[in-house]
Amino acid sequence: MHTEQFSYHRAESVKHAVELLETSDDARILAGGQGLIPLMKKRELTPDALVDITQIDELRGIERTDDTIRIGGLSTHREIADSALLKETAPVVPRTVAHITGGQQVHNVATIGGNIARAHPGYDYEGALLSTGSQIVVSGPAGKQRVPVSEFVRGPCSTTLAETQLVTSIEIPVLSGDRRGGYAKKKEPASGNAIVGVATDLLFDDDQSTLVKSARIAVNGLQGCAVRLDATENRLEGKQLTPDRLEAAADDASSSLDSSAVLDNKKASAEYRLCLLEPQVQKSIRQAVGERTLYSQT
Amino acid sequence: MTPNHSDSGIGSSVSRKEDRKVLLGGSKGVDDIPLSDALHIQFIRSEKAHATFTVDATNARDVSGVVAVYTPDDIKQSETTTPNPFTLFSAPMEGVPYPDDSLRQRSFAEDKVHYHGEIIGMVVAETQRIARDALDEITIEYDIIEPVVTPQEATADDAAAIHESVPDNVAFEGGQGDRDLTDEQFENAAYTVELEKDAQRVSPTPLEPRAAIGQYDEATEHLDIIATTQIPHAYRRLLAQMLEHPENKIDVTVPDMGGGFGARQHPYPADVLVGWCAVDLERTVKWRSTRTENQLVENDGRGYEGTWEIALSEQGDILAVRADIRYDLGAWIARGAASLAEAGNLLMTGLYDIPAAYSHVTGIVTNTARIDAYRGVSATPMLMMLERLVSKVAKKAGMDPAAVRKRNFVDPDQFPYQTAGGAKYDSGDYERNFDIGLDELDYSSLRERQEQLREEGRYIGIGISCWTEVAGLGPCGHIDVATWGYGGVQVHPTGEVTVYAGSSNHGQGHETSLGQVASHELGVPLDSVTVVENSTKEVTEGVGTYASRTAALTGGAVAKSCRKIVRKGGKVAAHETGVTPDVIEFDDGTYYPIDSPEDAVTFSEVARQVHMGADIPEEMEPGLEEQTYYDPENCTWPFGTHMVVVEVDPDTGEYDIDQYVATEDCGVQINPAIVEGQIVGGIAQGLGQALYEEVEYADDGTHLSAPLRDETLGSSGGYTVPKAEHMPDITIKSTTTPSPHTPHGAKGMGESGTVAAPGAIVNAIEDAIEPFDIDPMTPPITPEKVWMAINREGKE
Amino acid sequence: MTVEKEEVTVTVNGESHVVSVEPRELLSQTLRERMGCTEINIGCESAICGACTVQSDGKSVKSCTRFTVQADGADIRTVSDLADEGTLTDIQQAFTDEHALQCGYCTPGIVMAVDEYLDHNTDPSREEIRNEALQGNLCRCTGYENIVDAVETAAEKLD
Ligand SMILES: Cc1cc2nc3c(=O)[nH]c(=O)nc-3n(C[C@H](O)[C@H](O)[C@H](O)COP(=O)(O)OP(=O)(O)OC[C@H]3O[C@@H](n4cnc5c(N)ncnc54)[C@H](O)[C@@H]3O)c2cc1C
Ligand code: FES
Ligand code: FES
Repeated sequence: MHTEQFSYHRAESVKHAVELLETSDDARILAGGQGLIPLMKKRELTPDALVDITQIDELRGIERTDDTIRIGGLSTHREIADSALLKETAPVVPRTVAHITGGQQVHNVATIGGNIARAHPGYDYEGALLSTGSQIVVSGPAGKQRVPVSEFVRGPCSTTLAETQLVTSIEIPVLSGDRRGGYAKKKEPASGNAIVGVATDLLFDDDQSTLVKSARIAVNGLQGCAVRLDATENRLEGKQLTPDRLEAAADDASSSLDSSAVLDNKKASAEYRLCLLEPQVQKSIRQAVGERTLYSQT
Repeated sequence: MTPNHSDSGIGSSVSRKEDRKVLLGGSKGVDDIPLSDALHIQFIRSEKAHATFTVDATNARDVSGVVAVYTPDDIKQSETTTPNPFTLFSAPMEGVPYPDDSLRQRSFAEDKVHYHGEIIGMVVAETQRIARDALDEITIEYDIIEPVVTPQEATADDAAAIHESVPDNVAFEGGQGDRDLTDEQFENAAYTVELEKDAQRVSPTPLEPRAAIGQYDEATEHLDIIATTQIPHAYRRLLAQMLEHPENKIDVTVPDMGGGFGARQHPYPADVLVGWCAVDLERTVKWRSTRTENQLVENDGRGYEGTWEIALSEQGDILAVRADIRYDLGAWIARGAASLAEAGNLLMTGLYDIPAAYSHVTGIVTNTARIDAYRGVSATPMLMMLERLVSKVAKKAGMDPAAVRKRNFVDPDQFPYQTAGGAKYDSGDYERNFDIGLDELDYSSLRERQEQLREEGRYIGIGISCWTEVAGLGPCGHIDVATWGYGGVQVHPTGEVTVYAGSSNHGQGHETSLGQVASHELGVPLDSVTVVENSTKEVTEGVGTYASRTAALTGGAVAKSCRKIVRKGGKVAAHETGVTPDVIEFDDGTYYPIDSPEDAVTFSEVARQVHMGADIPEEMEPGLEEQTYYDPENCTWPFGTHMVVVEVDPDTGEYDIDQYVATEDCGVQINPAIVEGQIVGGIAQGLGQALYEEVEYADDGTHLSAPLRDETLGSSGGYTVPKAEHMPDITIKSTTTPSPHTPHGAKGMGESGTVAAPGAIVNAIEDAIEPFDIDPMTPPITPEKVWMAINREGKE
Repeated sequence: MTVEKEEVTVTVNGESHVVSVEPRELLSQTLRERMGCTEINIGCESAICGACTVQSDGKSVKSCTRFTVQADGADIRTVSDLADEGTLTDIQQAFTDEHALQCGYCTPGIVMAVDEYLDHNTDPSREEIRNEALQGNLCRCTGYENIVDAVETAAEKLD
């Protein structure tokens, strides 16, 4: 298979990348290439130019700055899954990445920036970023901008990103306390993409506590964009977590959803996606809760 | 004289001789062969399923680096003879004539396309990249004809005819078995069950995409082909007919090949056109398909739909089976397609002593790519349906499905056993083999556990599927091509041995197993045996590898050649030691007179002596080399049972395979580790048929299953080749019931997993959710389908 | 459209090469067609089968889904570079001992992926081998069981 011809430009800095994007009508950013190259090989995408951003050092690294964790846009799935900092401060993110398929070969090169920029409804990051209240940091001719994930993704494979902009980093607010994460996913067997993926971000005081200080749960794959499960969150937030409450919260998962927006396609009918939601929500929350002992209310 | 044993002989799980080369990165496929001045072919393929068309290639001809563009007119107007249509392997079944000649596949579409992906022409260029870019410069205008994509659509009253000469799209129709007796048995039955289902189209999908190289030498008029095929000699024969080129001026070589599974049994239009193009341009030309192109046109398997029925007596005896099958052939009848129907009928009674069977088959053309051999061929749909019916009718009669099977097995003393479908099974001991599986599962306690768990709201299911297959496909005369096994053996003066095998190795480990046969027979170490295969240049003759025939037929031919050699050597040893040949023993590579073992002569000494021609019996020719065309008296019929335990979550329809036990009896095993590998590999493909795989066409005939991974929004996500995470661990248990007629009692068994797994897995899932009173399910059984079956609305 | 070729320096199995390629040339194509690395197999072309897996700076990647220009400066290893003067590595040896290959088309890619995987997880469970170590590869012949056995055996030996 051969892609069409294109010219290749290696950007040295974010500024340079933006300039390169501005000079071509139909330029695309090349990061890990795991989303882009297969499409170009099928000649479904035929950009005139590719701007390779992988040499830009400022897009790398995962670090803590005051009250946010900054994940450089070029961070690979592998780096994120292995990040001790993320496991500590936003565990839902590495937990999610563990469910991304394609094997280590994909994890070694595919990036978080490319994943969120492609905004494919079967991709996994969006739910985790939504649940953690992350901002997508975007740079373009007009400078830097922070866009909440919920605004960044407009629909299936569609974002607010302009053609001359790039994702430079993702910022996750740090919460103080014992933050726990879980991710449960029903895969489509061929592509490995999500039919339903549930990301759970829970905050407790410490690793014994069962009082849920905050609960943010988002589902991807279910609709064109990831959505928060408000009803489930409300059943948990500020409450003592009990087995009954956990189940009731999962049972309620679809009650705050617009069921007409649920995807209905060959991978799964809308009905079936909704059927999978409750058990996946349970699994995800349980993973986040982990070993702590839950007592039944009497 | 008795055969000899050594550590590497028959029955030993020696490591494969093929592995080292692969592991060191040294294997070479068609696409890996260095060529200095080859031109590259890209085929122009139809994007529509059913249309008349015109092609404008003007712009493509102007692309720099393009050497030639062939539209249909260019091919027809060339001085090189236009390729003849493909021929067929055989008529569909006894008493049914060959289908109309107009249905035989053509190498390219002249003015009408019949399926998505059909070849319209080709671009030949200096590089593959240039050829690919030039394809985009070709304009094809289509005038669409309403396509018929399924047998049902094709046989509807107002359906468009795909081929004018066959207005009803029915290519052939016929019955096999005793219809009246079968009907009568059904009337007398206490219980009957009918299943109306289809065994869906699946794609064999070898991991290496197809490729071919054609090299033509103008001076000698020799055409050299290097290609991905399972049947080099038969490929050559077909090419000779189609290109009207002398067979002795064509050679076909198959380098290392990444799988076949039946899909590489019969050549394709692309193969023929690569040869044609080499002749026309008098150049070396090369074609390598992309995965998409490969999937688009490589033959699918199965494509059976229809009605299957079983009749049971009050006591639990199976009285008859009946089937009415609509067989999807694709747009043209592929070379092997017609005869596959017959093969299925032969074994439609499975392992059971069933007095009556009748099967009616209608072969229907549709606007889709061709259907032909795929591992398991028609045994897969026929036995999947039979085994589903046996389980269902047992339940209907309130009997245990394992007990009904045991009651109906053909008994060991009934062999050779003539089936109601027309086969003659060579040997078997079904119950003994079956019981080993039941013991492994602890079947009766498992049934009790199933009951207990149901009370707790957990649903496990046990699925059983017994299997046989037409292995060791011979004897000659039953179809219109040769079906012997070819094996030549040459003993070098140094005592080393070269085996020339008429089969094709593409994963089955022949270099090892055929080497083991020679090592065993000649008493030489495996390391001194070399196996040559896959080449018309080096191997005199051959029929190829398909239908699980190599162990029995090539192995048999090699053994027979070895035995001729041992006999000849015995005469030399007798001459040398001054005794008569009848008192010479041969054991572990040495000859000795019975009464004076100290006078031993080694095999390699004898080899040197015969080679030199000095001091050998007077009437004897020098040289130690023999060949055998082994025409067996029958096919071989291996057998066994797969038993599967699943647990289904009724809330979501998701399932887990908890246990998978496969019992096997393929007669004498040459290399048990290779046998196990074949079983597990076959199970993966059978599991794919049961749970994941399905070739999909859109209503307009667009093929949708080409990519193995697809991110197109709304698509199915791709064609699922089962992954490591989808497979359970598998327990294999064997018994040995030798074939009475092959030289070692080997039967062959390459397809069993693919035959047995679908029925066993489907039965297990249906058994698990039986309390929900479900309708029979249609594979591939996705969790969503299970969930729908359990929760279907308006359930009675 | 004519585009400028790019000059790329890559080290392949210890040997340094400078090539001038169209930007669209895939790493798999450069390695196979220019450097004779035909041990890299092309199975799916959609980044799923892993038959084309090589290691780039020690990390396994699917070479059919990389442009050669992205490999500028990289140190590439293929399966041909593993064995030391013909002595198979523990992983390679385990593959033949366990009958973990049939046609062998998937094998070079799987071995390269497993070679990296066992560096990170030295004692994987069978489930981890199926879900993680082999997640990026397809095999149509073996049904995977013997591959799982081989990875288990190799992990024990490497320990
Ligand atoms: C076999 C396989 C299995 C996979 N399974 C999963 C899975 O289970 N779950 C999942 O979530 N994903 C899965 N993926 C998809 C993969 O995770 C994404 O394709 C990858 O994250 C994209 O990142 P990349 O760096 O490779 O992006 P690229 O392919 O380089 O780019 C993707 C798109 O984003 C644009 N882009 C890239 N970087 C930026 C940036 N910084 N700013 C703006 N635009 C940018 C590109 O122009 C392009 O349009 C799988 C992929 C493969 C090949
Ligand atoms: S060919 Fe590269 S992943 Fe399949
Ligand atoms: S051994 Fe053939 S694809 Fe794996």
